[in-house]
Order: sequence, then C-alpha cells, then structure tokens
Amino acid sequence: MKLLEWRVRRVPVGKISLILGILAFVLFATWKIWALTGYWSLEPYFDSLRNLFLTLRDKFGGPGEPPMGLYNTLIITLKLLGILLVLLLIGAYSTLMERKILAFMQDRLGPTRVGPRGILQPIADGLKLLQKECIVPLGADRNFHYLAPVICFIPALMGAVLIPFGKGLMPVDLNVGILYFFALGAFGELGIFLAAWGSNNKYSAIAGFRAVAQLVSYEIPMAFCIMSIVLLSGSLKIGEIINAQIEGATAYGGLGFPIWFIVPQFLGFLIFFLSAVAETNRTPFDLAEAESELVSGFHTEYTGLRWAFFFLAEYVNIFIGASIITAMYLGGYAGPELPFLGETLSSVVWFCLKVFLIFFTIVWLRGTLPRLRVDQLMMLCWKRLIPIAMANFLLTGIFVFANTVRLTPQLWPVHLENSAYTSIAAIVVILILMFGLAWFFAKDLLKPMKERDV
Amino acid sequence: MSDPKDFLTTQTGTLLEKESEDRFWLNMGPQHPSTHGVFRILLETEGEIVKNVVPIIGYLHRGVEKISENRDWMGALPLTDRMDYLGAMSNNMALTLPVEELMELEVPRRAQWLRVLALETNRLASHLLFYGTLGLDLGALTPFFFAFRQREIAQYLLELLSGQRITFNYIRYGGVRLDITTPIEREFRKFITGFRPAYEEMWNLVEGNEIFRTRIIGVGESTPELLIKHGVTGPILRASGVKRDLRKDRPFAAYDEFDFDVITHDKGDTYSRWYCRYKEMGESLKIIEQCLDGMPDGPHIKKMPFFFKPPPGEIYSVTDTPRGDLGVYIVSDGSRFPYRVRYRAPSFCNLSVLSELLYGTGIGDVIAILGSFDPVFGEVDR
Repeated sequence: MKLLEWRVRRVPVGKISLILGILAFVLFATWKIWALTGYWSLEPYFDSLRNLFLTLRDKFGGPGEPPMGLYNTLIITLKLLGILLVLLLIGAYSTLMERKILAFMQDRLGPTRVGPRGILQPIADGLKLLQKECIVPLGADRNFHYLAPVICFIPALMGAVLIPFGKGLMPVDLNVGILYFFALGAFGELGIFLAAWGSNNKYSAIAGFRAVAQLVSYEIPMAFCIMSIVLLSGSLKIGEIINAQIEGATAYGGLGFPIWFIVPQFLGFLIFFLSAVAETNRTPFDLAEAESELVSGFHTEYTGLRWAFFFLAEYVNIFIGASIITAMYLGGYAGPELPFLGETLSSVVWFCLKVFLIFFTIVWLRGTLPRLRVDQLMMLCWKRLIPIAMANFLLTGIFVFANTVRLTPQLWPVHLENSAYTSIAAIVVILILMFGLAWFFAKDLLKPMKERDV
Repeated sequence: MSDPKDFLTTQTGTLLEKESEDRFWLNMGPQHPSTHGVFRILLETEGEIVKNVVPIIGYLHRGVEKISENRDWMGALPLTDRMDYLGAMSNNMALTLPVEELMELEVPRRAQWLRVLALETNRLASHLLFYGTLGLDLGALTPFFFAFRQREIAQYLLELLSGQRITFNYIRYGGVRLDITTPIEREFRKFITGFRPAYEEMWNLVEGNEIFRTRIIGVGESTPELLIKHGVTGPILRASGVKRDLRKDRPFAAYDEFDFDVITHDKGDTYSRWYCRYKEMGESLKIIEQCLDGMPDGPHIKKMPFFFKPPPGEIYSVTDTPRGDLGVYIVSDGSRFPYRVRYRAPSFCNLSVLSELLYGTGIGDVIAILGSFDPVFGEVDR
C-alpha cells in the first residue's frame, strides 16, 4: 500500500504545472502586446532581450570600461566556468587526498583500482553518484529537501572569490573581505538545517539541532580572532591583510614591521583553526553527521547527486577555510621566490603548500581523535574558546596601542632616543608579553575537561 | 507497533518518568550502524538526554536450544558456534564440558592444553574486535584498523588450528578435532612477537588521547551491587572491582596449570571496561606463550564413536567466555539425542542492566556504553 502511494506521488505534477505556466505567460504576453500596440509583432520580445543584454553589460563591464562585446562575455563566462571546474576538482580530489592520507595513517593503501594508483577514483565516484536515483522520502518536505543541497553548495562556490591563489591572482578583493566569509558561513548553516528539517527523519532533526547550535556558537570565537587580525592589519580586505604580513604596513595601518600573524596571534591561530574545523563539521566536531550515533546526520535521507552536493560543499568549505587561515595567519602566498618558476608561480606554489599543510592537519585530526560529546563541544566553545578569544582580542588591542605609541615618539610619556635598539627592544618585550599571556591561557585550554554539564 | 508507549505498557519495561511534550521517541535499530548487530532500543529523549529506555531483542532468534533437541549430541555442537560468533571456541567448550562430565570421560592432557590455546587466541580476537568497534562507536577510525590488523592474524592462526575462521567447531567431546603442528606453532610465535609493539601502540592511541579519555571516563558508571543484582558477569563485572573469573575460581580445561592474573578495575565505567578488556589481551598473550612453551605430548583427542549415548542425568556447568559466564544446563534421557539443552548467555544477562545505565545520559553516551558492553546478538537471541 505504501509502495503504491509512493508511486502515485511520482506523477510529474511539477513539470506539468511548469509547462502550463509558461504557456499561460506566453499567451498573456502576446495578448498584452496586441492590446498595447494594436498589431502582432515579435519586436517587444527582442527589445526585452536587448535590455537584458545591456543590463548584463552594465553589471559586468563596470564604469569607465569599454562596452563589452559578445567576445568578452564569452571569455568571462569561460573563465567563470574554469574557476567552477577547478573548484569542483579541488573538492573531488580533496576526498582522494584525504583517503590516501588516512590510509597512510592506518597502514592501508587507500583507493588503488581506478586509474594509476587510484588517481581517477573521485571521477568514478562522481559518475556513480550521477547515475543514482535521488530518493525523496514519503513524508519529506519536498521543496526543502530539494533546496537544501543547493543552499549548501552555492555559498561554498561563492567563497571561491575570496581565495588569494597567488600574487595578483585573487578573483575579487572585496572591501568587506572577511565579513563576506562569515555571511557565507551563515548561509551554509541554513542549508544544513533545511536538509535536517526537510528530511522528516528524527536522526536528521537531532543532527540539525546539533548543527545549528554548534555552527552558531563557533562563529563567535572565530569573529573575535578575525577582529584581532583586523586590528593588526588595519583592514578587512584579504589582500591588505596579506600585504600587512609581507610588507609590514598597509594604507590603513599595520605594525610597521613584516611578520606573519601566526607569531603575535598564535593563540588566535589555534582558536581560529579549531573553530574552522568545527564550522566545516569535521572530526572531532562532526556531531552533525555523527555516523555511529545519528546514522549519517542531516544527510541521512539523501542519495545520488543531492548527497554529492553536500559532500562537495563540505570539501570546498574545508579548502576555503584552509585558504582563509593561510591568508590570515601564514602570510598567504608569501614566500621566497623559487628558481625557474617566476614570482607569480612561486607564490601559487607557496600558497598551495600552506593550504595543504592545514588540510593535512585537519585530516590528521580525523585519523587520531574520536568525536566529542555535545555538552563537551559546547563547553569547549563557550567556557574555553570564547573567553580566551576575548582575552586575545584585548591583548591584541593593547599590543597595537603600544605599537602605535612606539611608532609615534611624540606620544611617549618620557622622551627616548628613537633608535633601532629601543624599537627592537619594544617589539621583543611586547612579543614576550603576548607569548607569556598566550601560554597562560593555553594551559587552561589544554586542561582536561572533566566536568559534565548534562 | 505504532506507538512505543503502547508497547511500553503492554510488553516489557516500565515508564521511568512521566511523559512530557518536549520529548520524542527515537527508534535506534535494529538497522543502525552501531547497535552491534540487530539490537533495537527505543529511547525517549528530551533534547539529547535519554529519559526512557526500552531495549528490544529477538531479531536474531534461531531457536538454537530447540534445534539441539532434534540433533544428536555431535550435531548440537556446531550450533553453539553460531551463538557467540566472536568467541565460538568458548561456546564449544561450554557444551563439551557437561557432556564429558556426564560420560565421565578422561580428556588427554594435550587436548586440554590445546583447548586453552584455542580459547585464549579466540579471546584475544574477540577483545581486539571490541577495541576496534569501541573506537568506531566514539567516531575514531584508526583504532579499528590497528585492532583488525592484529585480529586478522589471530583469525588466520585459528584457521590454521581448526580449519575454520569463525565457526570453528574445534573443541569436541573428548578433546580437540585437530592437533597442532610445528609450522602452526611457528606462526603462533611469529604472531606473539609482532603483537607486542602493536599492543603498546593501541594503548597509546587511547590512553594518550584526551578526547578518548573524556568520552569514556565516568560514562555509564555502575556499582558491583547493581551488576550482581542483574547477573552481569565477565569483564563488565570485573571492571567494577569484583574479582570473579571462572578460569581461576573454578578452573576448567587446563587453566589451573597456567600463571595469569585476573584483571580488575575499580570505577565500573566505560573506561574501566575498556581497561579490563585491554589488559586481558595481555594476559591471554601470556597464556598463549605458556601454552606453546609447555605443550605436553600425547593424543589430542580421546577416540570416541560418532554416535554415543550419555547416561541419563542432568548437569549444569559454567565456563568463562570473553563476554562472561556461559552456563549450560543439559538433560540426557540416555538416547543419542539431548533431551534438553539450555544456555545462560552472558550477553543476554549483561544487557539487562543496560537500561539502568543509559538513563540520564546523552545519545552519544548511549552508543559508548552499548559499545563497552560488547554484546553479541547471536548469543542474546540464540
């Protein structure tokens, strides 16, 4: 009986209504044209198309640039498609990389069958998932169920514009920069919750509650870390943050000496890293898809390509998170120029190396650690990470203030010779202070969590 | 069954707390990645907190006891392999022991030693599986692979010894089916040398892992009184500080000739259960080594007719298995068929305490506690 019911619901109501709607619209438009102009013509259709093209030209061409022809439009479309393809490949091949690294840690070989040394495995997986049926459970909210993977996947793709692949290779250096990253993160949470709610499954529902609590909580320490970085660099733009680490100063501020922010912000780096792992739902914070507890969490009821979208979104998000960490703490694409490669290419190589290092660490965590319990997870965030991140923010403020005083001798209470020695001494004292306080708090962070709040 | 509450009031269990609107019933199993087979638990949860627990068993019931009545005594033996399929050797042992006692058979000394060798290798394999699956239950992948790498070798050794990987049917009335040979003994020794570093590594992977410890220390604490009240035995009872091991207390096979310790721990929580099983692996290794070193000469089985008729009578005997005390009650009417065979399965009795431990814990802890019980549902349902 159930099966029969399920079959009945497979009638393509959506397609029929879509076709009827289009038909109705065409009839209505034709009638409107006749009513307005008094004669039958296709000219208004062409007009509207022309208008659309002009709008597109205005949007993409930007002010002060020559009008864009069809050729340029094509080129830009191809570039966008190229970036999309690269991003999808990165997402797919991250899985292979993870499987290989995990295999190495667990004394196994990992995928070896498809292609030489399993190099084509992600493509085979993708093809397999393409062929599978996307099953929608009977009681599910079909619209939410359909929308959720899309809403998860789009912000992951949109994040690609932030990634500084190399010197001068940043797609867009947005002036809100790092805030955009946050906005996308919030967008992704919506997708997860929609998936959980739309599946009509209790496991998914619990996973959804967990995911929302976790992701919203872990954005707070993350924001504090980013504010510290903004204090140090004086800008929200990612390009400027990298410049501040390479050159020491930007148009908006900066420390006055080149230093990777992982040195003054080591604590911030740790917190941001942990929060980024939590934001991307990875072990040991993978409570939203806790396999042994909640079967598969929010994507329990997903199959085929829809499931693949969640999967890809997760890995693209890891890549974006690793890129942001690299840009904010590890100097982005900074690094000595490599022989035979030239400036741009060697910067790309350095960037990729650092991102891989972060990615490897995330996989390493997965290979070593079990999952935290929910209460332990929230306690880690609210009782440990947030206070430490706030303290870190405060200390950074003091540090930046002291640095500003150092740079402007007229502000000094006692007039000292502004020699190189005093500068260096001041830097060293401030750094030691930062490290001391960081260690003081880090000890607290590393203390075992014994209390239970349940 | 549409509403779990109906089931709750009509069938087993009792409502531990009054229902409220903030709660919902979560059906876990019989198909669930970490209920260790076909176990089903109905959990009433308030958010993450478990307020009511209804364990439901019987999805793997095959009627082993009834089928045994229609087989002859020899035919009843392979059925025991299918009960606790992770510790099949000890199940063979459990049935052979009362039958031999009834028939007053003199089992050769070499056979007794071979039995101990097989039992302990199987115990090692069983505990290795526990080690791996507890890791999986907590969300860690690596312990599973570390443990299974060694377990694979243990299974291979048992295969060399008995000819089978899982359902051994090795321990027979009057001895064991096959004798050990020098190449097999060499393989055993190779395994022991290879196992030592892996054993250390497995310790470090959990003991040096803060999250692992946080997840299992203090979770599912139990008192010896509670456990004894429910008839819980084996490593779970030993983990709460009761020094009870039938290998020491009432030695069967040749256990009185071996030097080993009974591992206990005082807390009675998930960590203690892990600790006991882990340390027992070391003790098993010790016994295996002693077995190989001092294997006596002689026949490996007392020659017996294929069809035999034990004298009329009834006997209850208990042996120690990796999961606890496996009791076997046999009744013979003097024919070649058993009149009645009854098993007291340790997993079944151990599970009875589960709902008391689960109350008030989170969903994550439910999995951890169930994993630490290491139940085998072939044995629970029989």
